[in-house]
Amino acid sequence: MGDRDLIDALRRGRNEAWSELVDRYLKLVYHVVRKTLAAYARQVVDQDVEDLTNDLFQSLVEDGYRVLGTIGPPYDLKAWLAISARRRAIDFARRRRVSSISLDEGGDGDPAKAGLVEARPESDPRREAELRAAVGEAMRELNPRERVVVRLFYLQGKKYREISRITGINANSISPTLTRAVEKIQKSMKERNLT
Amino acid sequence: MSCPGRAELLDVIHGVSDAAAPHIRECAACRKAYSAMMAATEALSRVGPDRPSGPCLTDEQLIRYGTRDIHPDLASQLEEHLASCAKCLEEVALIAEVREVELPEPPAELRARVLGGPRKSESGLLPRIATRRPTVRVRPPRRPAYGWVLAAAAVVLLAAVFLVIRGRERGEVKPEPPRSAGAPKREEPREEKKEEERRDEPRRVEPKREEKKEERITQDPRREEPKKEEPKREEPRKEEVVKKEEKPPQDTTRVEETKYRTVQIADIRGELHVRNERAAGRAEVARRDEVATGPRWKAAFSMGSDARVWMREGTLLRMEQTEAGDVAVTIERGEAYFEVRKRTAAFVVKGPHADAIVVGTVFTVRAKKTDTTLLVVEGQVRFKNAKGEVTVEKDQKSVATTASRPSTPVRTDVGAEVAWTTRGDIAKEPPRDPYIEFVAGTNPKLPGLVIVSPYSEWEVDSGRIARASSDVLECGLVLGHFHRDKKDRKIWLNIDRGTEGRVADDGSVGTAESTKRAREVYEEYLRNVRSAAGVHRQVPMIVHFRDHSEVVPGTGEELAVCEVAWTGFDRRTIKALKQLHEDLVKEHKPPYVLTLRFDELDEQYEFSNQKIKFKFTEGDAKSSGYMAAHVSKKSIAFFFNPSFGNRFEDFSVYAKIFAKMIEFLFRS
Repeated sequence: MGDRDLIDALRRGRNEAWSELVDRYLKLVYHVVRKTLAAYARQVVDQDVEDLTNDLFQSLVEDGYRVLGTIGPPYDLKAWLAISARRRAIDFARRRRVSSISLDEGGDGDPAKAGLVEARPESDPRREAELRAAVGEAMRELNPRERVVVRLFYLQGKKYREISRITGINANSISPTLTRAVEKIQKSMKERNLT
Repeated sequence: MSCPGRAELLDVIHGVSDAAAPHIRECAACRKAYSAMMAATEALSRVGPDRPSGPCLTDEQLIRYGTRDIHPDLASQLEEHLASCAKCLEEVALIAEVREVELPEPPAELRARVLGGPRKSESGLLPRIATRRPTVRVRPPRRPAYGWVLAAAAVVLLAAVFLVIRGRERGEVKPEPPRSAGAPKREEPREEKKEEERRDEPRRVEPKREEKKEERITQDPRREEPKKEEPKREEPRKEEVVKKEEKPPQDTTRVEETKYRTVQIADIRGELHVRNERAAGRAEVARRDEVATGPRWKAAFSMGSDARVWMREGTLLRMEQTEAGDVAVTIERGEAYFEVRKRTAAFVVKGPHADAIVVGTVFTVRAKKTDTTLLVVEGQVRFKNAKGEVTVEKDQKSVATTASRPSTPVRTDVGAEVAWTTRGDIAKEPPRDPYIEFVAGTNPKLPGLVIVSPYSEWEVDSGRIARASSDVLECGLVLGHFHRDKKDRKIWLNIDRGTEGRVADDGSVGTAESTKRAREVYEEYLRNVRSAAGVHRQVPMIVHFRDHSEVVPGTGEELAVCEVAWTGFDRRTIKALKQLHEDLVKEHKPPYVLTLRFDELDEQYEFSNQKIKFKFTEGDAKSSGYMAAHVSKKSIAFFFNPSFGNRFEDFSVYAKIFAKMIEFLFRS
């Protein structure tokens, strides 16, 4: 049964569809919640992971699986549940953070990470601003796809194979793209006497 | 070893390969270059984008990109945002990752816990666990009601009915008194209570009422033990007792059958699906049935004599009606416009974030994931959720979210917001005035592809085959209808050329002239084409479906040939297209086979034992008209003969054939 048929079956109230949904995607939701909490929360408590996983599934049931009715093409439940689980876990981590954390926009502009990332070590603000300008200038010389590759590698720590899977770029093209970006940054940093 | 290149240095930095590492240690120049590159990579690893470029991607965009189910051109557009937004980038990376990685098993008891969560009924139906009221966007349309009278007393009546219903939901024995002496009150609190009990979406109980009942729906249901079917009510009412005695808690079916009746809908216009099947004319809608429009077409229908509903594309409703005549329409997603006749029973529209209850008014509801909007055209509507309520009046709108009460109503151009309801295919009466309409393309693999039939109503056949083909492809579609001047019916407007001609008594059109009104209509046509093309800034390909009526010289016999003009392609592609048509005809075996003749390939062809010179070369259209480069880089125009159009049964088969031909051209 494809995802779309599964959604239809659930909304029609077929009991076996619920078991099918859980059997198919429990692992996925559990894994994503755990992985997200590991990245965003101070600590990962097994009970929290299980609670969040259960919460997500129970929220699907509400109002006759109403939320599933909002899923449109391409009706990819796996992907939809993955991002739903991630967002739920991030919300949880934000609510539960214990210590006061830097309130700047840290986290590379990701609002989910705002306040969750440790303040960076002391650095010269002027140098930081120059560095930011240098990186920005160099990145603007790349095309959007190349910028995506650079972000995925340097900011998200993805491997070549993963980047290839995400972007569809041939894995052999990734190294030259990164080299090009680094050269541009170097040039920009040199012009600003940041080397 | 000679000094390594920059890429090799980077491989060492990235840990991909350490082949160059020994040399770097020994070579001062390479050590310096290595240090500089290291500093640059550190900068890249520390400095993210300042702010995302543009709004975040929708879930559909994220999923399509992450699963690579996307056209490269569209992917490029999304990358503009992805390059600057860590959140979206992480989500697409996650989507890509979970497609392939092997996932660890969760604890065994978690499965039992999750499976044990939803309540199951003996009937096999999973009960609806209502944890919050569905919210309804009720936007009153600006359209005047069809002669229905909206009385000021309706407002008061609305309030009374609303309060009564709310009262029942909270488990009060008696309904709250009406706010106005003039407000009719419900006859039977008991019946109301019954009605409320049956609602499987119990409302949130406000804090001061909570002690009166231990309705578990007020708590987070996800934290609860396996639930019973009906919400718990403090007052043991006869019906409730009976209900408990009669059945196990989960059996709602028997209760529903005794308390609800099917909703009769009629005068269905447009494309409406009930229970996933196309409905035409009239239909019976049971409580759990889905009433939906597809992603491309709108629909309209009447509910008894009380209400008429218009649904926008991509809209999903459910509806229920009690024996007492109370009606509840739940909008799961999309937008619906209501004209409700003044009535004594409640008419409730529930959306994801707020509800509106009316007794006779004209309004529209728009349900999105994040908020619910109500627009009022006539009268007043109470708009309420657990956070608060407002009264929205004529020409006003209010927006509600889960986290906030409905916003203070503000004035808005409701007419513009509900103009979609005036479309010809769903209008109550066929429009008399000419208009152009478009349907935006939704197929990410065919961005910018638009099929146009500028004279679809007048030329009948081309409009139908254009619509059918575009539905198969899910590409953009533009249809022109009745293009005469509104007042002067003796003017024919060439909407895709910016000219007009006078219509003679014999129906022939005189010399085409460029006029101000013709140019304005042309600009409107081009706007429709751009809108139909969707995200693509340029329209890469337009397919024209047009009609012609030609006769064979000397015999007066219909020239039953479909001539095809083209531009922007090469001859080899068109030759292959011609062959493709022949192959597809063999494969699909349509009852009637079009004879296609192509510009440049068939400059002269035979028909009915006569040599016919190819006519529709569209030289002027290609140089400066509707096939010109400034309109579309690639373009093809099919000129159908009338006898093809008369064979309506052919369209579905030929729609598939044309869809494959057009897709072939798009990818060429």
